[in-house]
Amino acid sequence: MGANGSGKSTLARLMNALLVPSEGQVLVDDMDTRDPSSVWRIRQRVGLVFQNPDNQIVGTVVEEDIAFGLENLGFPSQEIKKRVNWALEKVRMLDYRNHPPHLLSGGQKQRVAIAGILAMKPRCIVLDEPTSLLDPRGRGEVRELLLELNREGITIVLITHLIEEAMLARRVLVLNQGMVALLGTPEEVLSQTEKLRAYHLEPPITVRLAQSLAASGVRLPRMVMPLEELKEALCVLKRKT
Amino acid sequence: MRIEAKNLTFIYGAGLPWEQKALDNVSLTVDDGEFLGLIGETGSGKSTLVQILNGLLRPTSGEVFLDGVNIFQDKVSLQKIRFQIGLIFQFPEQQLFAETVFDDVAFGPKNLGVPTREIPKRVEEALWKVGLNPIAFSRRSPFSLSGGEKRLVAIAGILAMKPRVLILDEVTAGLDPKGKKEVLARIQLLHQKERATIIMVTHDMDEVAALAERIVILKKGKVVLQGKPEEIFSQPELVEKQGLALPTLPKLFSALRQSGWNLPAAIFDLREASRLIKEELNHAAG
Repeated sequence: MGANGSGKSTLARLMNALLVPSEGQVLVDDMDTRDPSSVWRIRQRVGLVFQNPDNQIVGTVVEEDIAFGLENLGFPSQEIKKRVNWALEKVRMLDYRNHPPHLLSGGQKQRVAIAGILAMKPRCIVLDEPTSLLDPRGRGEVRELLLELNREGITIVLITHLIEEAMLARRVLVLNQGMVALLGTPEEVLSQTEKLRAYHLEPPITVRLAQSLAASGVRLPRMVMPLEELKEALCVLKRKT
Repeated sequence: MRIEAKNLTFIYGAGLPWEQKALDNVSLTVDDGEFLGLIGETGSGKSTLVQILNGLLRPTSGEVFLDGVNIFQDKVSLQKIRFQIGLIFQFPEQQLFAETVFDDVAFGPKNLGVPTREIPKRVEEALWKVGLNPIAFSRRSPFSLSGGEKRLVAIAGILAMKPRVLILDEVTAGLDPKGKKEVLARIQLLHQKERATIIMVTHDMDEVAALAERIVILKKGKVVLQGKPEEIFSQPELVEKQGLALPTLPKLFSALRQSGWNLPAAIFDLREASRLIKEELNHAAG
């Protein structure tokens, strides 16, 4: 997380050698991103998804779009077919394989963009504000998908302005003016409302409500909880009293 | 300015295999000085509707009246209309092009035929209205500004044409939280101080709940719900049925009510919410 211009997108691009550091080193499974001979292997392991799906979809039909990356890497056509179907199945877009992408909704397009990356079988997906242009339903679809992929063992790096999304993570990193400002569990990072404000981030309403309740003597187990958990915690308190 | 839309229907690709009805018999009134929130999931017809309201699209059938004048009656009224209804598209900063903020904001009024000697005053006024000091900003390149500032310059470019209605399509999309706050605060001031009639299209329920006086929900090209925020969001099931999420606090309160808490449905103020929850807990403690 971090304000516009804090360096998030630069950091994302450093992770798969789209950019190389002026100083310092990025290692992906021990491969150095500055080593030109490793670049293609690195990009197969770390896929990047951007904010606007319209800028990353190239095919005129969904399945062609997914096949694009594989074709470029010279995969045999049987293998391409298998992977395209598998990737579309994963993002639940198989029924749309013959659709022109521009007729899809934002959430569907973003899932197609993710399928294009998945088809390369990466170990890690870095997403740069993938939901900021989507409506609430599209956001939910993409979030669910990311959680599912993560459960299956794919590393997810999610850049987001939405604290509800950051709460899903195991760790949260806040950048400020190109430097690491905060790093820790969601609880550790997102409860620091004053600091977040100083870094131009808005603490979520649920955290502010929890803090306001705590200040008036309500004993909540934690300050940083998704809405459902906060509701449960309040119900537990009510039963106890 | 009062806007009256009557029985608007709009069909994309009429007669073609992919023909699509984007608006289906929509009627809608916006009062002079009102702040209207227009919401609905992607593809519900919001953007089509606002483009008809400022005469960019002609409806397949139906009429639009501005202060009683039918805007699609003849060419003359249509051209006049576009300048009276300022439409700010998504990502308006992509339309910034000039070398300086001044030139960018001046572009609209120049095209309108505003006399050259009046232009600097127009630009200055418009920049003040969005909270950008003309002395500090006029000579800067629009591309050197932050995301929020760029967007404010784009809005100033529209305000310089002195529109009587401002339509904002997803005006905070893609901004960071600070930029969002900055832009929303300015829009609220425009409404309160200038009595500007504002139509805001948004996906952000917390935003619309905080700002709009009335909300219209579109679904599949039809108006399915309309009313004040507290009326709309006190019907959680209905809102969710339209593919929309509730703002955070009404969502929490709705969940608590379902678990038997005695709370009102539509609360938007944090302190009030905190107080009511505490009260219920105390009450349970007896």
